[in-house]
Amino acid sequence: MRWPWLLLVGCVPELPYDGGLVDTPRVLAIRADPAEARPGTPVRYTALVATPDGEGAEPVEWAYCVTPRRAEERTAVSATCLAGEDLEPIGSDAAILADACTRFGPNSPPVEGDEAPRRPSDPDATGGYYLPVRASTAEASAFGAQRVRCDLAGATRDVFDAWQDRYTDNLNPVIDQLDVPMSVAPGTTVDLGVQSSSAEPYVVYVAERSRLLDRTEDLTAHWFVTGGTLRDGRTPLRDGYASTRWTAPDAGDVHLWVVLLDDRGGVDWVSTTVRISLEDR
Amino acid sequence: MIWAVATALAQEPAPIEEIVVEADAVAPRDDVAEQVLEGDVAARIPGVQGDAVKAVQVLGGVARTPTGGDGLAIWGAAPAETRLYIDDVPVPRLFHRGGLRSVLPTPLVERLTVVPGAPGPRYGRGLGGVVQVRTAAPEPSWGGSVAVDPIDAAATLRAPGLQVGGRTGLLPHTLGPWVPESAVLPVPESWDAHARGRVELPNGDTLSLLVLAVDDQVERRLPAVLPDDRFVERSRSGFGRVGARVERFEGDVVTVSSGWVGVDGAGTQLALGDAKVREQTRVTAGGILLSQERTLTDAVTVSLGLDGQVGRTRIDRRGALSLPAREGDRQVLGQGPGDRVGVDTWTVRQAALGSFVGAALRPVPSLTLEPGLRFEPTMLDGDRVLPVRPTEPPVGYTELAIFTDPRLQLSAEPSQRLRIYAAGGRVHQPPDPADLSPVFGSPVLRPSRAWHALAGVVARPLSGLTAEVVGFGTSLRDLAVRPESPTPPTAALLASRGEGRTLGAQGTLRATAGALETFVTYTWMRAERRASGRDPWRLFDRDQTHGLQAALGWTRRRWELGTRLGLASGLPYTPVVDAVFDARGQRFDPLFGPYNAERLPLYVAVAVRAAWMRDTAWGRYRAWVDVQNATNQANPEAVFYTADYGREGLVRGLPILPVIGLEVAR
Repeated sequence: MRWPWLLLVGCVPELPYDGGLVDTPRVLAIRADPAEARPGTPVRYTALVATPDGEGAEPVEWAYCVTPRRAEERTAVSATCLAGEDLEPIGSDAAILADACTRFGPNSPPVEGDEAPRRPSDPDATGGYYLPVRASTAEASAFGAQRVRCDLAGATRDVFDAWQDRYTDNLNPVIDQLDVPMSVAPGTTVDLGVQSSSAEPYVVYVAERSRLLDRTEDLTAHWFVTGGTLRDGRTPLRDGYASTRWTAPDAGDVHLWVVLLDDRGGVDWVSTTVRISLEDR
Repeated sequence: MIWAVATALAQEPAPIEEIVVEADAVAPRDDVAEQVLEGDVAARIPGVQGDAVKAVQVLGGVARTPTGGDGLAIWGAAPAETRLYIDDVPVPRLFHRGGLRSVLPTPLVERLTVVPGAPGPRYGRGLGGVVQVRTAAPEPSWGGSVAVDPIDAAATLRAPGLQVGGRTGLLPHTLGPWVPESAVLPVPESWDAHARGRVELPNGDTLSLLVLAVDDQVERRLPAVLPDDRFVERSRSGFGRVGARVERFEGDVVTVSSGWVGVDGAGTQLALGDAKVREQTRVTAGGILLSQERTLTDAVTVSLGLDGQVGRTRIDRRGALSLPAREGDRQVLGQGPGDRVGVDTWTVRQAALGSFVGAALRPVPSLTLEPGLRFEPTMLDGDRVLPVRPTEPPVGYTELAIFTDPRLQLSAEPSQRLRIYAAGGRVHQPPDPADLSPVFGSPVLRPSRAWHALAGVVARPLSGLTAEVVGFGTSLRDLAVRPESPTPPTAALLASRGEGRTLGAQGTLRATAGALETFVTYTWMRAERRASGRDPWRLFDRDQTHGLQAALGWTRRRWELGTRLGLASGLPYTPVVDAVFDARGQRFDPLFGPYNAERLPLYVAVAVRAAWMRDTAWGRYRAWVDVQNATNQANPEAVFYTADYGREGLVRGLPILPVIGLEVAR
């Protein structure tokens, strides 16, 4: 027998939260085309705005966050940008900041006078550097990231040359197929699937070993619905396929979105509507 | 006597000659504000589950240790700023992981001493106070003991002049099955072993030996803000120490020579999805302590000594820049470490040779002045001053810092029933080797320093009643903190510009009446920190404005009953005021309000203990039941948020926890 009170030992509280349920307007994804480019390159940004009534049609305002994060900040962007400060408005068609590799990349920030050299930004686990982009509507906002192609810093000539030869800019993944029924009966549990063959190989520089490492991207599907219950809101793709299980609500059409992310900041998404119909019972 | 929680100053004043001859004779002079607890008394305090060392958490000025924590915060000093000793041997911690049990078995504990502030000149290398556990010399007879309770099983074997023993943790088998995966409390697989020897040398000197080994392993899944995630933590940490001490008594001269060597090892792997952190630390260290106390006249006693320590620390860390979290970091429980990673392997060698001199001057019998000085050159040598780059040769560094720290203690005894005292001084602490990475920290950190001041009065208005009030303040400078700029200079992710201050008062009342004894201590304190002299003061992460311990004990023949009430201000925390969606990470990022602007609710805990003991010709039997949090108060330990930070709840601490212990000793 288990003593019920012992189950409380330093426990976190039960706070139900369904991150896959779109019950208020949300910016679910931000895509940059191209997904990775050098500073100064023209890019086009698009946002997936979801509302309980389907995809939102409100105009989206765009801005770059121009302040890097402090080392201890665990967030995607600096606290000042989260608070709506240090933002530089742009259009959906914009150019990557010319000094992006200095602000957010491996190049040392400029110094004045005889100041000591400043610490460049640290990469993520894929060796990437990102320029934060904010998309906001009247009711929702989110930050995305533009992966910036910066030169390799601190490597030997041989490694630098090899990296220049072998490194390829990231491409946005592509959803090849979505396995979702057109209509289901109320309360029915069905499997939903997504297929993609977009996982790209890439190289990452390992500074402490002074060598390049070959890797392949991981793809992850994130599921969102306006009704019903998802078993898993986030599913990694294995062999190019990911699935989750969804229990339909009792009534009404349900809007469904799948956001596909690669681990270098590439994005694709697809949406559909599922009819909840008694005829399918 | 259950509640002999004593203050050194509460004892009857004794002439210097008596102090020299008594008091273990080897123990350096008592510090004016120290609190002393005998081991057998400490083990009987309700709520410590028979663990003598754990009683240190009950003493005045010691902040409540959060559930799952094992560090002591005393008078506003962080755990890493408080020096811990077992005899003369410094140790990294006094508790096993999770804090449910100390690293020393109770039979080995003779006495606990806490110097919360303004220590004498023999102590250095710590900004805060000192906790010292004095081990008991083995009895000159054959014997042994076994003890078991749900936390561990212990056995000791004793021969004349030698005691060896060991304990193995039982928590994975007793508490582990009931602790859910999302529990904050770590349930370690732990063991410790010890050997304690004492030999009378032919020349009359006394040689004491201590060997100690401690090990903890933890594998657990910590809660994460994202419901689908869990932090997976695997860690192993331990340390070993071998110490020797020779004591010589020659008339009015007491000489102590001691030395120790030790190793510390720790390995941690933490993973949250793709975010991984790995750290391996290995420390080899050793030290010597040579001290002599000489009584020159009835009015003058001088002491002097050397306190040397060398150490080599090698750390291999790879993973998030934000980990390990530091005091002052904005974060919430279960938040991911961020996407930026670093890698570094660095080595730091430290050598310090402290020399100290002190005197006890009694110009009149009722007044004692104790000026002292600690002079300590400290050398730091590191293998990297800049992050490793294959295009650049490695460049190391060597720094020499010289500390000259004056100390002063004075006490006056207008009557046998009243003592007034004051003390002050400066202390220094060299940088933590873990902070000296050119990638994760900074190799150019300066030593931190602090000034301490205190004044108090002890009164014994009635027989059996002792009251004490002490006021204290500290000022800390050059603390290692995060830099102000998001783009600090290279190899400067930490900077020596933090400041701290603590102001407080503490009252203690102790009374004995027949078989009843009571002990009450209350501390009011405000501990603050700031990142630099230009920033506003904010609450220290372990600030505890109010702390109360009230205990009542009753002893009669074979029976002991006791209860204790603990009240403590909740820990401060930084509220989340909003959240913004991170579309790349598919998670919400919190937007924080003012740092430590909120505080958890009051912590209330009642502990109850009952014990029965019987002495026979064969040996001693003891059985006890200790109930921690007897009222099953749902004490908050932390705030936990939903993934969108829209709602919050409280993580609760330990519920009612009855522990039954059995001991057989011969």
